[in-house]
Amino acid sequence: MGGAAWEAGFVWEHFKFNLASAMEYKWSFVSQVVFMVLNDFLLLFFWWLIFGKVQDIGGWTFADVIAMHAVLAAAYGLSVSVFGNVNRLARIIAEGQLDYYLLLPRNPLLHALVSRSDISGLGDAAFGLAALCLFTPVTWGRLALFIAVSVAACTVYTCFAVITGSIAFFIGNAQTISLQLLGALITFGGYPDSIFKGLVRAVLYSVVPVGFVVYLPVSLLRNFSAARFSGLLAFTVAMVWAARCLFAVGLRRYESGNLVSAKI
Amino acid sequence: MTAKYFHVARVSMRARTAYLADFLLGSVFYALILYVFVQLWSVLGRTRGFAVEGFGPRELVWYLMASEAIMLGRARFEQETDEEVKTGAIAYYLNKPYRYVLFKLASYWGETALKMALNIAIGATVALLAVGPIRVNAAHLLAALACAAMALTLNFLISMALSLSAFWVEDTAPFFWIYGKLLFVLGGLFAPMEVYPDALARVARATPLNYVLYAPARLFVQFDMDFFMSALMMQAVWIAALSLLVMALYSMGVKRLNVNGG
Repeated sequence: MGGAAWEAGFVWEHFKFNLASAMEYKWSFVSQVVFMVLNDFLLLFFWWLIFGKVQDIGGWTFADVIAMHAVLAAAYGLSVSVFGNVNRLARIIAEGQLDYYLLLPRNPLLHALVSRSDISGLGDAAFGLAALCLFTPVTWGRLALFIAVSVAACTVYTCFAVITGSIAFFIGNAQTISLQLLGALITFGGYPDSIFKGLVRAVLYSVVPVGFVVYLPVSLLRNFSAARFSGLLAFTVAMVWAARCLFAVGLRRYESGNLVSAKI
Repeated sequence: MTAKYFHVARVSMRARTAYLADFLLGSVFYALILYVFVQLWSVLGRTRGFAVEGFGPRELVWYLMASEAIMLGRARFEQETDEEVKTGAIAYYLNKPYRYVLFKLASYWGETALKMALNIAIGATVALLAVGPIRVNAAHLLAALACAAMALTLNFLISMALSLSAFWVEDTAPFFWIYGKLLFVLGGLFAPMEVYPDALARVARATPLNYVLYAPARLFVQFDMDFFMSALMMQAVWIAALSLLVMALYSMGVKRLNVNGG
């Protein structure tokens, strides 16, 4: 437990430092956050058009679709703003940039992930919260549940990104395949699961875990069940374990780069 | 005079094919989007109350195939231009025997032509397998391609105008997020204007955005000579107006350029 608290403190200190650094460029900071919120709200436009013509899509109402975008944006936004290198891990490994983190007395995976923040992610997270409060029925309990499922979804997304990024230990340049898999998760996560059937649906709850990042959290917001919530938490813990194991196994195959760089 | 720009376009095209596997993998996203929408439109097609004038599920899939081919076929040069302006690297273009904006246009077209060809091939295959063919003849196809070429040029000018704002602001990336979403909303990326409420469709038609996506995609699915002529004329008007704007922004911007060292 002490170790987990220690690591959480480490993540928090890095986040604060990255935030302060980004705020030095005021226009850039404000515009990234504000325009991302606006950008995400515009995403709802298409659904507004569709739900102007139909009541539901395979059982999903407009409120469910908004909750879906809210959870997806909050999970993604938290992930990239706190673990800013999450989508660049394959490149960091392939280019030998892990050397820097290996020399320091910290968990190299965690250190590599938190070394950077994508500030626009704060706009995504803000959108998630705002969209849920503005367009769906909200109570304190539902808000707490939204935060809990978003943190779980963020963890699953981050671990999936670590797993896809770790492919680079085994095949070298894996940046494209990693980004394609992450892109697939985000793409499918923007549409109700009721439109997918058969094998594709099975893939969405396994190989590309959209089901645990979006669909299960939305079903919990719609109709809470302790059993399904426990299932989400169990899957989240399993993903953390899988990501750490794969990274550790891959690290044994890591070949140092000859890149000379200074980190100040 | 124009030969050098053709050469730039050819070099840009060849640069993209140097990493062919990477280039082809980039099209996976396009196929994925088409797949998702095939599912969505087929579910909606079976839903009571969902009807779009002149468009069945099959036409909606082919419409998306065309609009997404343009959306994802556009070469993304804006980050590069933003960097060139911010770092002052744009100064190195000033003494070269070409005009910066035309150089960028040629480079943009080299990459875009290749991406469009690939997208059309992939999109047509996915749409054919998923929903079957639509009726289209060669003359109408050529007209839609001409409209698409104008649309992509229009997109270049809008993107260039936004990129050149880097002379005045720290970061232009947020402008492009919003531009992308406005293309989605007012350009008719996922659905034709026929799905829109009348008032919103009127607003969209007053902007250049629906001439970037909606006009060529609709001509491809539902050709109409009057619409073709009016779309082409409006595209020419917007291209002329935006060319003037880009020239003005560029000449004002380079006067602000301050480069130290080398």
